[in-house]
Amino acid sequence: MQLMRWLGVAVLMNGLWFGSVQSAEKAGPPWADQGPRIMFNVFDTTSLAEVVPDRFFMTFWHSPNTTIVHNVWVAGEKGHLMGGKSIHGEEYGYVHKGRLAFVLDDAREHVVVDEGQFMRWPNVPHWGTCMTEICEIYAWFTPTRDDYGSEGTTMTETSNTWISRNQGE
Amino acid sequence: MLGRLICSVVFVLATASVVVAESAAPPASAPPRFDLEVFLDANKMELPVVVPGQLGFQHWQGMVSTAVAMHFKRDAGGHLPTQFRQYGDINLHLIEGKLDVEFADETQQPLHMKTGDVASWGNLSHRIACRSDECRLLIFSTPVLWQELGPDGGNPVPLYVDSAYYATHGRQ
Repeated sequence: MQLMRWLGVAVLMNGLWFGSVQSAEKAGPPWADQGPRIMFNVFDTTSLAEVVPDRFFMTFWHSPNTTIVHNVWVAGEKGHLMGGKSIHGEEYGYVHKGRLAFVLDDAREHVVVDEGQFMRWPNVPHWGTCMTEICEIYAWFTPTRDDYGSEGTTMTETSNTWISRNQGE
Repeated sequence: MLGRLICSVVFVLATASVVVAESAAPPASAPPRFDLEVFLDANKMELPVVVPGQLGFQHWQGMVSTAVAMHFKRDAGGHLPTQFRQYGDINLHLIEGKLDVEFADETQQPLHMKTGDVASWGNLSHRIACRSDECRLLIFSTPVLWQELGPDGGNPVPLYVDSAYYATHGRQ
């Protein structure tokens, strides 16, 4: 009887612990909730931060369970930045200018996305690159991209995993 | 003391059993593995008309999120009435038009959106109102709106539309 009582307590503790973990996973970090707002306009890229000089510009915003990134690629003399493989939850994207190509990890699918098109990536590894002189896009992620840090965190070639993963490859 | 020891041992065993069970046993019905897909072209946005003269609507389900496209049109009777809804975290891209987002919590300032604006908010009760002759927009939301909208290609009551209004004015 005593054993059964302790077993009940243990199961309860176990449930509470897993419950707390699952609840924590559902909500992003507290700094992610910035309230309702208009974040940007797709026609205006003048305020994007320069992450890689003359080649890659981006700014990001969070909501409790999502992150949105507005970015611009410029080929210039060096050609486009080649990012590494990415996997970061479910993702949607919109191409405002240019043309991009994406491929899934197992190469079972190649997709070209043109101006004005919306696309969805499943939660599997993928690569992407800009195929025109300039590409302007935004991408929406869920869950929140904690790896970016809070809004306003300076993004660099090494802190941006999409860029840094491909260094030396 | 003995009780605490037993509790700890049982807790560890129970935890381990759950972890092992979760990692070793595949789910009874594995979720579909969605493909990478282009699902909408803003330059050729022809949505199924669900309220003739007033609304085109289409949705696409993901694993943990839903994309919804809407095309509001003002007809002789004006825009169709919209109601407050609350269904998770939302990003709204206003492709064309002027649109207001109002929140049930009046301490939240309304958003006045114009063509090209992208807005977001957390899980708040809100409604949208088109302020131009037409509004074309795309919403990404999480969690997935499976119970509300069902599978792609279905004919659900569109978001923000009162079910009674839809019953009398909608395409059935």
